[in-house]
Amino acid sequence: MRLYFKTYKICSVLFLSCLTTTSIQSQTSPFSIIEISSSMSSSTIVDDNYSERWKLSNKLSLSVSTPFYLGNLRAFIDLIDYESNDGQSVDFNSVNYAIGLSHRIGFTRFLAIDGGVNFGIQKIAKDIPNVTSDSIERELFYAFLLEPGIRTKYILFYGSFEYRKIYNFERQNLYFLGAGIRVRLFTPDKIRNFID
Amino acid sequence: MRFKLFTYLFLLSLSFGSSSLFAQKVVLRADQTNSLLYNLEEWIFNNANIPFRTYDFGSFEAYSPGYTYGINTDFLILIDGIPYNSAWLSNDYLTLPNLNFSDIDSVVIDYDEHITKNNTYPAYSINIHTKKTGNYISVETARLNQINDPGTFGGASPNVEFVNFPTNVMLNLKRGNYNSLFAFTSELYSRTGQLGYNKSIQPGLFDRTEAPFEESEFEAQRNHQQNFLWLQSLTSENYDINLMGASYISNQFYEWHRVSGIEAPYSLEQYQLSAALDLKNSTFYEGTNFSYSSGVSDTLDYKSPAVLALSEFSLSQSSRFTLPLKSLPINLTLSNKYYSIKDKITDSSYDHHSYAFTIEGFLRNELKTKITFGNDIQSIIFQKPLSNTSSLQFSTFNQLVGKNSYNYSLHNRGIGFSNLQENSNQLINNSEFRQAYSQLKWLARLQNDKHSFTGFAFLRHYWKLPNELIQYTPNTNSLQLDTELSYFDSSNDGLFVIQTYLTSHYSESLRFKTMLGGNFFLYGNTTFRDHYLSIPAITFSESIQYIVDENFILELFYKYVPVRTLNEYENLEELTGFPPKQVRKISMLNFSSGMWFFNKTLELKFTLRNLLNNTESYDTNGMYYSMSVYVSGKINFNF
Repeated sequence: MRLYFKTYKICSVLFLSCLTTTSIQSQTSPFSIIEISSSMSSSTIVDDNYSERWKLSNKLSLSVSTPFYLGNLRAFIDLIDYESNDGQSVDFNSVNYAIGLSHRIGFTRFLAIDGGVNFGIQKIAKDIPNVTSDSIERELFYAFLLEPGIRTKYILFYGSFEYRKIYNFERQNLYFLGAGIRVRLFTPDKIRNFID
Repeated sequence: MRFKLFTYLFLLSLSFGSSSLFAQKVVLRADQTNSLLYNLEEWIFNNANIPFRTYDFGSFEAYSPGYTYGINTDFLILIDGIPYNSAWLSNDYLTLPNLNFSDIDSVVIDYDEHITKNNTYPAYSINIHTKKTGNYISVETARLNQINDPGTFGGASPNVEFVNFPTNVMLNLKRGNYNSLFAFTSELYSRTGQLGYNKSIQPGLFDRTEAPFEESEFEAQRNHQQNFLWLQSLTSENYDINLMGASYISNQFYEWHRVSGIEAPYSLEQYQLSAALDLKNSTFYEGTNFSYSSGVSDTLDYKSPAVLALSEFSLSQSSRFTLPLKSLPINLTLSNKYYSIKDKITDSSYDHHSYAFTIEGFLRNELKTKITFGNDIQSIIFQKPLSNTSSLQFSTFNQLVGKNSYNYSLHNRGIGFSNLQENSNQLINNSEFRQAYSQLKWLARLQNDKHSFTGFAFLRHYWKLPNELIQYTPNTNSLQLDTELSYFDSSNDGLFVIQTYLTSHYSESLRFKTMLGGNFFLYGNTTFRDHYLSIPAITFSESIQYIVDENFILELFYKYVPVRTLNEYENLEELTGFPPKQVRKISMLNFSSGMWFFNKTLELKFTLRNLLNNTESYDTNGMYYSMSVYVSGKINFNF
């Protein structure tokens, strides 16, 4: 039963990924546009065993995206700090990097919503005495994103909602809510052909 | 239940039309697969649906269809047609240079039992064909990282920062009829057996190979292996000359030593040089293969006892001739091999010379016959086409395996087992070490516009078969387990084996590949039957590939292997609880994507392995793997 449930969950994620990428497929050719985004989000961790020990800082995020066959290919990097709130746990800094596919649905000329799936790695450095582990640690995560925005030809202001699951031994479930700005650059044909 | 599942999967794989030719080779095209796997060995085995046993994906015991005593991996490995020595120091476990599969052209698995060039016993073969297209250099590095790290919680679970860290560089130079290929590959991976690795399971055995670096007592120890491969070819209208040089070096290697019941830390160096001459227009002499191989291992003296300090040497050659008799050509192969191994601790040595010749031709127009006669092997094979899509084969083999038996031949002479203790490591021998069997095999290949099917099935009856049993018992006063290794003969054992491969493409962008194998014990000795439970009865895999664009591919790969039983752990499980004798089923789903940029100069691949997050393990004493992410970057320069 557990296996069927897991299979169902995975198929749903893959189906949603395909849905976000195929049914609303970009008409723009690969690498014709490059978008650079920056955002800040408040972070919430829902798991008690984490939230009792650490408070998460705001997430600072930078991403680059470009049209890529089934949607937009995006690369992310973001920073989140784990600050002790019980006075005993050690503070951590995390660097998170990810790639993902997303798609944009335009409702009007000015309103659009981006949705997508990311897979990435959370990297933390640990320097704790008596810990029987490597000091650098990288852990897998996946995330779902929704980003409604107001756009012009070159700039897009957007709100950002993200659910992220990090596959530590004690799983982390995080939610992020924030806002950002995205700058759109049109790639000259020479560069586009070079990249492709 | 196994038969029901097997029947269902078999019917599923046969639901299509047919026509066309006969052969019995399975060809894996590197450009028709995308999923990153642990290394080249696993890539071959998974894509050819070959079941295997491994502790750590570093070395493999691959199960060929049926069962062959004393040769854990009886596939012969060839690179561009030249035999590659994939096992060293009489160890049967198979290791290959970890070439990136996108750097090879194809892999051909040949399911005909035949003497393949330098070898003197008939076996199936795996032939790796490299790309020889122009001048290019490629550099690849990758990381495989699995989940369940402790994260911000310090000691919740051990942090294995990465499971494998492969690197490889390949350079191909082509000028006129000359082609030179150089490859360097390196793997750094989490090491082997839990009994020598996991302190919480057997503290005493763990102490044996506890981290050698005092200041970093808890640092995860890894196996590190490096391969170098050189292939040189010269082609002309009349002949081909191929040369191969290869080396394998591991300065720090940990291996669970099955008979001694202990983990052995050692260093290993192995070198080989091969040459092949093929004449194209000759009416008599066709060509010669020659191979030289040597290896040396030294024990890493962490804590006594020392285990492996060996040196070995082998020299082999084979020559092929055609005899034009009665307008039907007869092929003749003469092969011989000299092998020598020495234990530097006990000063004992063993050497053996084996030879064989094979005659292959047609008794009548369509009855193909192959006869092999040698000092270790005698066999005869008849094959007759039933139609243009299938044929029937009958064969009989008689093989002396004592000379090839690692455990018996070497253990009995005190080679490689210098750490054995008289009172706790027992050898009981009641066997002639001869296997004799007959088999009836049906094989087919069908093809139409959308589907391609290759398959075979055989019934095998063993007239005589040596059996090996290992049992461990814990010993609290020793750094090694007590072991009892016994040999006995059984007779009149029967097997049924089937392998099917179906590839389908419904459009240019969608490809399916369905593979199903069955390996069933039918009748015979109960101990052999119990042993046979260690071999997967069914192996099934399916891959679905969506080619979005020539620069973007998505793939789903699924593999199923049922529960197996390793009876050698029965006592240990009863007395200590670990390792359990039952190996969990494998139900593994991978999702992968491949992307190419800058006119294929940059290749990025991403695989989520084991998405169902079922614990993946191929030996209960080996590593246990969870879901993992595999990222690879590769740069290709053509010049």
